[in-house]
Amino acid sequence: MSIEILSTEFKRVQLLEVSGRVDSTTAGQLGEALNGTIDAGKSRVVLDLSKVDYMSSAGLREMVSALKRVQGMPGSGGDVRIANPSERVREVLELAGLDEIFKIFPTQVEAVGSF
Amino acid sequence: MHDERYLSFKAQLENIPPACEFVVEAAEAAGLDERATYHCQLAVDETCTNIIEHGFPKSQHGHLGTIDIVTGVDDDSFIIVISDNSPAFNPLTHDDPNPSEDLANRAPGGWGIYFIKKLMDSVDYRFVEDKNQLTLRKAIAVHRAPVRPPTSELTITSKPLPKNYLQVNLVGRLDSQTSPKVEYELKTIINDKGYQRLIVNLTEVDYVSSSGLKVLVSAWRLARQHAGDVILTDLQPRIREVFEMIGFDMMFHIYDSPGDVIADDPISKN
Repeated sequence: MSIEILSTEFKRVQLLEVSGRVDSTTAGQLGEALNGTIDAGKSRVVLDLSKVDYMSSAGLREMVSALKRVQGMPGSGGDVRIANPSERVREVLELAGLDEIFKIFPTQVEAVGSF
Repeated sequence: MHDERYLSFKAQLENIPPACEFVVEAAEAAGLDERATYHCQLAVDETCTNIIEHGFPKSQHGHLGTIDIVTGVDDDSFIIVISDNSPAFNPLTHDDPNPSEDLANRAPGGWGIYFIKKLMDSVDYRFVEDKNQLTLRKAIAVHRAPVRPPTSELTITSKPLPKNYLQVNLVGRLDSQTSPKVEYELKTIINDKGYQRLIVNLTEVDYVSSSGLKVLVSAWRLARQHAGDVILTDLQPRIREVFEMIGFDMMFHIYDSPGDVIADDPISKN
């Protein structure tokens, strides 16, 4: 089992398009991609989750860790924003109250444009 | 418990996705809908992840740890029993995280057990024969996958007639599937469109179930509250037979055709 993460650099935003099943066996890959992006000085991140068909709390943990990291960088304007989560992913986000913590956009374009 | 299925695997993370697959198949076979099935696999994933990450010391991964899953159906519930031989730990005594906590005050993780409790209809923990045993239950009736009955269709048209009558034509089956629509349409006609004199033409109705009868009665009652009436016409012989058997002909004016109603005008006579 694995996930794929396609990373695209925009002028001010890094877009990570994740596909596959994000669970305790694959969440590490998501965490590495997020941390690698932030380590490279890119603190404005859009996570496109439209192709994630499954997300457990292990995936949420990586997303929240990344959000805490970028928001803890004063003056960076850093944020992790979510584009187009599937109904099932949205449900777990809501269950953990993360729909109030992350900014969620219906499309990738809106999420990227929001920065 | 019946339809039991068993799976036993070493307590290693890479064995969780196949275990989820096993649970998905069992949940679907039990008749759960797609969303409830997803909830079951998520609950099993979270349970097994916790057992593996917290129950067994890292060095023992895959050596001593074994997880057993039994699924089955009992009392119209889908049951998942997850047992493991890690040290006794009751996850239900674990404090729930707070979903309204702000970012600064929340830990990134710790949602697994909370999810299990929220996603299942009940969760029960026991320590039996040196094993942790978590029993998850999802009610099938509440989350049943739709079994598509033969689609029943009914169309409704209407046209105004003289003397403030409205002819309502029903075409199709008047049964539990179609009667809510008929009820709504008739109510709208009487309450909102201002017609209280309805001639319900049943030429093309070949079946009326008890819910269909109820709808006709409630429309009849509503129309009469507004000094109107619901008059039935053009009954097929079998329907007429049923209506007479249950005494509908004592309640409703029944005519052979809308023209006969207009000619007789029973409402103005009342």
